[in-house]
Amino acid sequence: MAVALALMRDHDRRWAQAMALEFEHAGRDGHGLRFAWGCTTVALQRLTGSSAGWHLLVRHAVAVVVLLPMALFHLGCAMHGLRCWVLDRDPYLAALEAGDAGQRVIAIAYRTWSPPILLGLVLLGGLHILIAWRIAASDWHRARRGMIAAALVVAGLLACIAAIHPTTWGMMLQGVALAAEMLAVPILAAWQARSASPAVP
Amino acid sequence: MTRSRRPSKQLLALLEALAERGGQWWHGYELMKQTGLQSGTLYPLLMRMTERGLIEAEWREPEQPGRPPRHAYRLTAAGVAYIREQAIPVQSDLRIIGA
Repeated sequence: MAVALALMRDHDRRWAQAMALEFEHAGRDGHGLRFAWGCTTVALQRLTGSSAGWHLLVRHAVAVVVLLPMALFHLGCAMHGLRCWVLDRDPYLAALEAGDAGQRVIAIAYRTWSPPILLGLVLLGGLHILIAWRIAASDWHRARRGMIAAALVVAGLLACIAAIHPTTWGMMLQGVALAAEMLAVPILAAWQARSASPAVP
Repeated sequence: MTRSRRPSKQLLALLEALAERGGQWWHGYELMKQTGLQSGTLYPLLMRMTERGLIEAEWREPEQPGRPPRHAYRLTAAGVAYIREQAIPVQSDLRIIGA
């Protein structure tokens, strides 16, 4: 029921309140779940029936389906790296240190650059959460600033990775992922602004 | 020329239920029980009918004191006219609320 109420926008607030009160009565008769499910479908129908509703759905979908998983991925990588670093049990580092002279040089660079990379990953995860939150709230100005900060962090990460062991594909992948995210913000903002502006007769 | 669409089975059930009590008020859950409609069907109908002026909705104090007001619905004169225009069979005397 909370989902249904959250999906009902301001001009449907009266209906949302009406549904919430009837939900109590349906719940007493043991029909609460079915009632709430019906109200959720009503809320979704109302949302998809207007361009403002579509904007809200798309913004939340981008935030929840794209940006939050990216944030979790970056934070997960950072936690994994931090555990390896603190416990000094990194199988990749161990393999490098056991390798030839070239690999031992990479191992030294890897050890040196690991802390800033971990910090960068934590920052990137945090920035993705911030951007997701701001996009959901239609705060395009802060979302853009967040994206610029994320781009700077990624640039720093790429520089660190390049100092350890540059691989074209790995670096390209990071760049393409960030470029796609950075493009999403102005595209979403432009779409919303175009739909919100009054039609020219 | 305007073409009036036949009301759906669900709308008929709702109009019949609303007409049954004449000018009395109904709550949403009562209407669900009376018509057998689910909330996902009932509320869009109530919203559309309110927008078209076929029913009126207002917050009404409940019989039990201390409880919050509930949203209640009843037919308007336009709703009664619609029932007559569509020749929807109803059991009650619509003159109670009709013009």
